[in-house]
Amino acid sequence: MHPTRLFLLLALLAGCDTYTQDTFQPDYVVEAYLIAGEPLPLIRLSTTAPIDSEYSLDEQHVRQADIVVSLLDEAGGVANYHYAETPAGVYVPVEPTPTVLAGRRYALEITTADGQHIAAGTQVPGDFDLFAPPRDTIVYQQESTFQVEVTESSYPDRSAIYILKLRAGDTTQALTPLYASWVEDEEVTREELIDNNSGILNEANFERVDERRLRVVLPWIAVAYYGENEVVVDAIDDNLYDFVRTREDNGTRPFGERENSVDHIDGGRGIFGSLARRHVPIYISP
Amino acid sequence: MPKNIMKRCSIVIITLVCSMLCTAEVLAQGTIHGYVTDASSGETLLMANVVIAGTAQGAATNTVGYYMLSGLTEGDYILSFSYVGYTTQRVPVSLRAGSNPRIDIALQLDRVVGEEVIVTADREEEEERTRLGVNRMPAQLVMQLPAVFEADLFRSLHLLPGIKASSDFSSGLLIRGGSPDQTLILLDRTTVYNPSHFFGLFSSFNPDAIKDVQVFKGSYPARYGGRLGSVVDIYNKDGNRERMAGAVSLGLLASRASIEGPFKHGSWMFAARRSTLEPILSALRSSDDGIPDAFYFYDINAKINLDAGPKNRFSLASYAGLDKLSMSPVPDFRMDLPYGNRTGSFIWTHLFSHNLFATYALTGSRYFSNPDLSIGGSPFSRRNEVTDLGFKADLEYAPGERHHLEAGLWAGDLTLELRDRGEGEGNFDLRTRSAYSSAYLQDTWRPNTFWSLKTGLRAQWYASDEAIRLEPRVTVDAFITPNLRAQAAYGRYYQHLTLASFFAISAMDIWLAAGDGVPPAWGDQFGLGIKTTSSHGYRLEIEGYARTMNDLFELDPNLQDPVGLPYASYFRNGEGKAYGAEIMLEKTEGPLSGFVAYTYSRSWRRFPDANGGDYFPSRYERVHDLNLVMQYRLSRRWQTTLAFVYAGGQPYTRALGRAQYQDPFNSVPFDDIIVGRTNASRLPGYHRLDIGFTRKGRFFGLAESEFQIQAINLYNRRNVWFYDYDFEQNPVVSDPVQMLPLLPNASLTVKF
Repeated sequence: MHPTRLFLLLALLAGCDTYTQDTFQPDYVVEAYLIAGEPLPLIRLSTTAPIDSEYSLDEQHVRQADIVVSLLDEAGGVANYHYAETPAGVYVPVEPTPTVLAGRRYALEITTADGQHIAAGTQVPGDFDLFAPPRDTIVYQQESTFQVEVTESSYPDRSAIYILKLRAGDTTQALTPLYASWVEDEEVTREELIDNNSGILNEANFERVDERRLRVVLPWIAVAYYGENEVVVDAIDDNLYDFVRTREDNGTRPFGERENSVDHIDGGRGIFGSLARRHVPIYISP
Repeated sequence: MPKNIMKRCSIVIITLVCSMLCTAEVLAQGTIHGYVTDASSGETLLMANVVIAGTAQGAATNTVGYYMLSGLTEGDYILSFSYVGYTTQRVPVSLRAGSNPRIDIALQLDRVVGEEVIVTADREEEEERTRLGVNRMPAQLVMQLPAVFEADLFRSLHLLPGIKASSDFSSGLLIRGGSPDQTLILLDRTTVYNPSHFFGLFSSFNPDAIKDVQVFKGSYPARYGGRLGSVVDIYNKDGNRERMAGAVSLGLLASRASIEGPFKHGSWMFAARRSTLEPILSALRSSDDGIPDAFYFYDINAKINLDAGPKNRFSLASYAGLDKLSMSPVPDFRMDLPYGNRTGSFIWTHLFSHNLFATYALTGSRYFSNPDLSIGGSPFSRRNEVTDLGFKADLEYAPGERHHLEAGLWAGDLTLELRDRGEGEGNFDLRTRSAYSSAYLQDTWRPNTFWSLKTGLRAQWYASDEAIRLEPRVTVDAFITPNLRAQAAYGRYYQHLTLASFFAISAMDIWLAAGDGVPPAWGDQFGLGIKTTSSHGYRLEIEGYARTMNDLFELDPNLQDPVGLPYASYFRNGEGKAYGAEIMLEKTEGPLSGFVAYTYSRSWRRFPDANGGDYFPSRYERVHDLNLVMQYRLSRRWQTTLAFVYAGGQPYTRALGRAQYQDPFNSVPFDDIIVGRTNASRLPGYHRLDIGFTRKGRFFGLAESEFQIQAINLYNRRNVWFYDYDFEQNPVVSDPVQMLPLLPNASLTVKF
């Protein structure tokens, strides 16, 4: 082919790019976390906002939605729990507030004022027990790591998935040396260190003590505040698993690259998740 | 079952090789053969051309500098030996019945006027080097091109059409829309798994040690395998066979030293390079706590060659490279990160007869990255190692004028090991050990002076895959006129490995293998090309290519904790396609030499769980790419080199919206970015002009010297690396993170 024709062909090809950038489309955002053994949670319904506009969650709240959470059985329904809107723009269960049952399935149905139908479901993880050694004080980095034992949380068709957390009980306490230096360097704020969580941990991470018990080791890096703390162990459902693992990548994406979080919401986005939670207090001295 | 099939394949190949051996003497009549070397150093010249003057019949030297011209009838011939940068030699040869003269030729560097070397090229020399999809990068050009701190092979390759870098901070090769792991990188026939220094800023090949580099950008021949896309085949120097020689080079980032020389029956070479940042780090350490305690790299290349008679040559080559970073920037935080490569090869080249040539190689390669951290009293360590032990045998047989046969085996044992140890959780063990073997057979048939047909078949087997994969390769050449050549090629390729890079830091790279429910990736490549040369040293090359990528497997970016999960769930599987065209106009003669190249390329990927399952542009795509490289001799002592690069914007995924959640695991709300279609936006176009000046002279009258001064990014273009979103601002601010500014560079080299 004559070079000029080839150049024209290339120019034509270059001009025919059919893969173009899409634009922002507002979407409904659902947020609710059902915790086994605790009352049905509040539900937040908001909308997404353009990235280049000022954002206030309160202003994004969606009003006048009709929200129902259903406890399901194999036949498809046992009880419906209606929600009411609060002045703050969130939705709470209409009294009496029922307790979330471990190992059961719940469904969410939302109809917005403009007729949008939003639906989701969650399988609540099975309940479990947490056993801590009978001591009330641990000296920071002066002894072997702090360990607790948990019984397995059941979940259909998979092993349990956990997230560990150390929650500071007294934020007036001093910080451990690493975190103190980061705060001093303004890498993080003290508020951001109140909860120090682990990320997703599969059950296979933990040493098995016996048929039912797993040994969970609390790494010292989890300790940001001295003083009163609380060890929290959460067993999470599939929705939370997908949401947490996809909201931040594992470092293999190029800098600046992102994908949307995986959710399981029909008609919107967000999280309708559930978890089973156990916690135990500890005191960490310098 | 696979073992039986492999056994049968081996029998077929052994039978073929035996038949070659048995028939070699019977069929051989009138073969001229020998080595082509550099007259000043005795280094063999790879891909040098040998042509019978006045005809189109010719051959090229192979990867050890050996050529075979077979099927010649009795008579007198003029052989023309040529190589870019060297004076063409014409040698009269009388071929008598039953004779197979060996003509070893030493070529002189191009015509010398005073101390001035004027580069010339010969129209008839370029057959091998103008094969479809093939580029060469002369080591001398690597030394002359302006470079970020340090002359670098891969950064020089980025200037060739169809080859790009992902950023200023990466020396990785993105070739024809493929990811870096789709390029097989060989050093003296040994696979190198992570050829980088300073976390990817430089490649680990010392330009002092390099003799030749061939880049097969696509449709590569049957003697290579294991990668979907391309091959970079690097050969280190053998060492000067004529005299002791050496060089010492002082640079801003690193310094180099090399020495080479002859011994009674061979030659040797030793080259070393080490970063020299310590004085700068020491000065900075007093004012900045974040300066590493140790941050350096080194590499060592060594090679020894033994000429054991006219028919046998042995060489032993090794490479060792290490990067080390140690830092403890804040209390209760310590990190040690050593990573590097070790390679070794023992090569035996044997001339069975004048037209049957064999190369055997024992190769070993090890890549390791073993970070140790202690953060807040919690230790973490990783042992990440690749060990590849292999054996290669390559045979070349020229039974006559019309056929050139090649056959070979490549067998080995590949171990990938990843072992993480943490405090409590985070303990992970993955060890994949797989025997592998492959065999190929290739024939180049030239029925007449117009056509050449190269057909090859490669069979590849991995124990972890338990299947034999067949890879046909075909290349057709039409020599339309002495100066015009048209080419077409097709090939199928399989790849059993994938590379996962973390945080764009090459030191954290891990290799993972197919198997255990993960099929290997495979793809087809098609290529077309037209190449023409003029009588004034101009060469025009136009190539088009299209390729498919199937069963791609890459580490799932959403995989947070692999412990206890099935191996197949570590990956996300997809497919891809790429196509493009490359135009290169090269000037190889005269005081002004260089090339201008334009590339149009598209590269697409599709994964079921990304972008709604639709195809999206690969992040490796640069639709338009323009490169200009010029070298001009200003005077007897001064030379200038200029490189200009323009690349269309890199695709990126634009953030369109946001939402906020009350995180159940953290008291701080979580800001979620909502992105649009994957890679539907483009960063601003990348462009940069680099210029360098080289002055040749004498170092206190004792030795030759070269002083280089260079400016990288001369007009200080602040190219964008990526956009960072700052949620501290409301509304969110998208900050462009920029790449390298204007950088000066200087070096002094003394040669003796």
